[in-house]
Parts: sequence; C-alpha cells; structure tokens
Amino acid sequence: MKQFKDVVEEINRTLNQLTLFENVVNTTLVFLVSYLLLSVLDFHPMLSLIPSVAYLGFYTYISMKASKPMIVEGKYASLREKLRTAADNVHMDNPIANELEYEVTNAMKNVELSMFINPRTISYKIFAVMILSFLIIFATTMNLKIADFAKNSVPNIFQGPKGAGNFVAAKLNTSGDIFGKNDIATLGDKELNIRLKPVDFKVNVKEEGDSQRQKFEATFPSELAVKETTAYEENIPQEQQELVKNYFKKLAEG
Amino acid sequence: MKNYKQVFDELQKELGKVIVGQQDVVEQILVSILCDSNALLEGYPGLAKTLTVRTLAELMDLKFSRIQNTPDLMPSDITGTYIIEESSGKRQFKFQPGPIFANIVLADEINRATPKTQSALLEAMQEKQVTVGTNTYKLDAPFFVLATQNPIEQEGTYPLPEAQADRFLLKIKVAYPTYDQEIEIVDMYAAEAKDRRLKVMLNKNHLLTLQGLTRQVPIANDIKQRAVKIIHATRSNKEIIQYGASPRASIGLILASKARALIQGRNHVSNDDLNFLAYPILRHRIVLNFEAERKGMSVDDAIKAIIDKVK
Repeated sequence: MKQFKDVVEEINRTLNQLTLFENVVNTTLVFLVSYLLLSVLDFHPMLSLIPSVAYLGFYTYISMKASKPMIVEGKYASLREKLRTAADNVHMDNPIANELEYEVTNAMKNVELSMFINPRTISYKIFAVMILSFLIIFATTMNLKIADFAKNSVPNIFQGPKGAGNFVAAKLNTSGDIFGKNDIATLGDKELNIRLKPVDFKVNVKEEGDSQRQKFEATFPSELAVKETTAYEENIPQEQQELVKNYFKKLAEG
Repeated sequence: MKNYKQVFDELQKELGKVIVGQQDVVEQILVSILCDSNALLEGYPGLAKTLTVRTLAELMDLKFSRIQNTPDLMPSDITGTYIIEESSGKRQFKFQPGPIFANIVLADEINRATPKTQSALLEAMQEKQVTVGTNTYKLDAPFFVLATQNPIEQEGTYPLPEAQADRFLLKIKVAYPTYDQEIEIVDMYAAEAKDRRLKVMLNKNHLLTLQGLTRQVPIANDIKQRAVKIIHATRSNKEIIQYGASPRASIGLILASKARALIQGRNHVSNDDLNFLAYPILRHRIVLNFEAERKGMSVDDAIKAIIDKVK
C-alpha cells in the first residue's frame, strides 16, 4: 500500500510540475503578445501584466484542481478507471483493492513522461517567445505606433505627474471648431503638421551632440540702465514720516 | 479476480445447457444474488423465467421453492402455520414452515396475490425473518426472492405499489429470444429427451464469501458521485418524471455495479456498470408524468435520457 501511495504522490508531483511549466511558458507568450500590442497602440505596456497574471492564476488553479490520475488515464487506455479507483481507495486494505493496486503499480512502469508534454509544441512556443521579444525591441527602438488610443480612451494609471508636454497633448486640442483640425496648426499660408508626443520631451543625448560653452559679454548694452527701487516713504511728506513710522511701530507692538 | 470470473463463466456455461441465450438476465439475477437482495422478473409467459431460477438454485446447491401466487393465497400459505401434532399421547402445536423457508424462493406472478399476502412476502424479503403468531423465525442465509410478473393480463391482478416494488433491487426484463436462439431452443426441447445433468458449481459458503467480496470491490469517487447524480436526476427531472427514486436506489446502483464488476472479473467498478444497471435499478422506482406518457415515452427512454444527461 505504501508503494502505491508513493506512486500516486509521484504522479501528482510530476504532473503539477509539468503543467506549471507549461502555464509559465503560455503566460510569457500572453505577456509578450499583449506587451507588443499595447506598445504599438500607445497604451502603457505594463498593462500587459494584467492579462498575464490573470491567465497564470486561472490556468494554474484549473490545472491544480484537475484530477491527475484522469490525465494519465487519458493517455493510457489500459489504466482507464483503474488508476483513479486505486488512487481514491488507497486507504482500503482488502484482497481486491490490493490486487488492483498491484496491477496499477505494474502498469505505471510503462508510463512515460514524454506522453504528457509535447516537445514540438513547447519548442514552437519558446521560438514564438524569442520572435516576440525581438519584435518588441524593434518596435520600441523605432518608436513604432499604429494608433494612439491611450490619451483619449483610458486613463494612464502608470504615468506620473503631468508635465507641460502632457498638458498640451491632453488639454489643448479639444475643440475642432475653433482651432481647426486638432493636430494641425495653421501658420500663414503654410500648413504645419505638428504631432505632439509626450515621449518626445525626453532628450536624446546622441542627437543633441556635445555640449557647447556659451560666452557672456562683460559690459551691459547701452539700452540697459540701473535705477534705484522706490519705496512708500518717497511719497510721504518729510514732516509726516515720523508720524507714520510711529503708527506702524505701535501697530506692530499690538 | 480471474478466478472469480472463471467461476461465473463456468456457471453460465453450465446454465447454457438448459437455457438458451438470456445472458443479461442471468447476469442480473447473479448480481441480485451477490448483493444479497431480491429481483423482480418481468416477461411474457414461456420465456424460461422459472426454469432459469430453478436451474441456478440447482447449480448453487441451494434449497429452492416456488410459490404460485393466486388471489386466494393466504399469508400463512407462504410463511407456514401451526399444526396440531400428536406425539406420545400428547397433542401439541408444531410449526410447519411454509415455502418461504428456502434459499431461493420463486414467487411466480406476484401481482396475482392479494396485497395482504404480498406484504407477508415482502416483510420476509426485507427482514429475512418470519413472524407467525408470537414467534419469530429467522430465514436461512442466503435468502433470495425472485418474483415474476406478467406484463399482460392486468385484470384480476394487484400491481405492486411503488413503495413495495422499491424493495426489489432489480426489475429484470426478460425479452424474447432471437430467431437463431429460438431454433436452438426448439432443437433442444423438441427433440428426443436427453439427460442434462448439471454440475454443482457453488455452495452456500462460496456464495456467502462472494457476497462479502462484492462489498469490497473498490469504486472511484467520481463514479460513485455519478451514480448518486443519476438517482438525484430522477427526482429533479420534473419535466418527464413524477416520482423519482429513493436513496435506496443509490445504494442499490453502487452495490449492483460492484457485483457486476466481480462477475466480469474486474477489480474496480466501471461507468459501464452504472450505464447497464441503471435500467433494472430504476425501472420500477420511477413514475413518469402525464406529459412523458403523452409523448409515448417509456420508463427505459426516460432512464436513457437521464444517463445521457449525467456524464
């Protein structure tokens, strides 16, 4: 009986590990696909954590709840109904139950791990993970966007305090009737197509080049003049200044 | 388990010397015997119901008795009665056991007996004892009642109430033989009489041991739950069923499935056992409603619908 208990525990442990591994690979795929989509749709890419965590949680729960003997029986017809019966009655000690346990234990020697995991499918999934990773790197480097839903559709919960650039993008282009097309500013006869991107305020050091030393002139230009600041005393007659001073002094003393 | 299967195979083979076909009927009777319970056989006259039961009793070396039920049959005709006996010049009452004191009792055409007589028989089936006057007599183990019922000739009969029918584990339908089987029957019985000696395959002790083993057959939790779901579904399916089966049916279905597994040499209960035995277990325990009858649905159709629904 103890030997059969070990067999049942091993089945549960091994299949739990396998399903967890498969779930992690699938979750990675879900994360990368949603990350890529959210990036090109200009949503915050970290939103992809939501479907990934939901997927992992849901499928881990389902796979942990699933009867492992049933999974083995699905692959080995000779164990159909026997394995789960033996597993459910592992505490039973009578000649018939013992015979069943013995029979199942012997049959389990033919069970191969490779039956429960498809190497080809896993290889494809890992390959897909690689491809998606490259696509994400490419899309973020090229700042690739196919639509800009983020600002008009959902609040960006991952964004920090709004800066000047964000304010312009979010607030100014609101009314097409008064200002013309939202994304086009008219300058004389020429149309200037301006696209405001909150990410563009970041300075690219490589594009800016080396810093330049600025020179300042030592002498002020002639149109500049120094003038003394004026105070309220200047408009008070000389004889009343002492009176006003005392008034304020008493006022200050309370 | 293979040894047990061999025993039942030999038994069926031996029975085959007398009975042609009817393997399912024989299997269900054996199921009933292994469950230490009773069965109701329903079939048209001339389908070897009595012969099957009698032959089985012979093969198992069991005491067999037959009660031909009629409307004037009294309970004491079944249970037995006190008679005055004279011994050494003294007269005293002595209990004369009735035909119920056997191991296998064939109650032919049980629906012809009056309810009073039926209930005397059913009490013996349930309690495995008989009370006459102030004395109670235990019946010998193993004890089975195999009652037969004729689906035709309903006039002058007292159909078993549902509550009493519930005490039979199985209601076995005895069908007509196929054309080939009938040819074989004709060859067997219309030709020159042969001496068909039967070999005793089991005895009382073997049977009691097998009854004990039946209860030891393990069953998977999901199969057990499915059995209960099937019985539950008979109570919740108000669209076609007016009265569903009792928990006694759940116990019966699981126990009968274990017995069938033992007969077939399996050390576990299968879903196939449930699917096969749900019919004889439920046939006499559910009552269809008017809507189902209006649609021409039979009880077996309703059972099939439930089995298909509960996967």
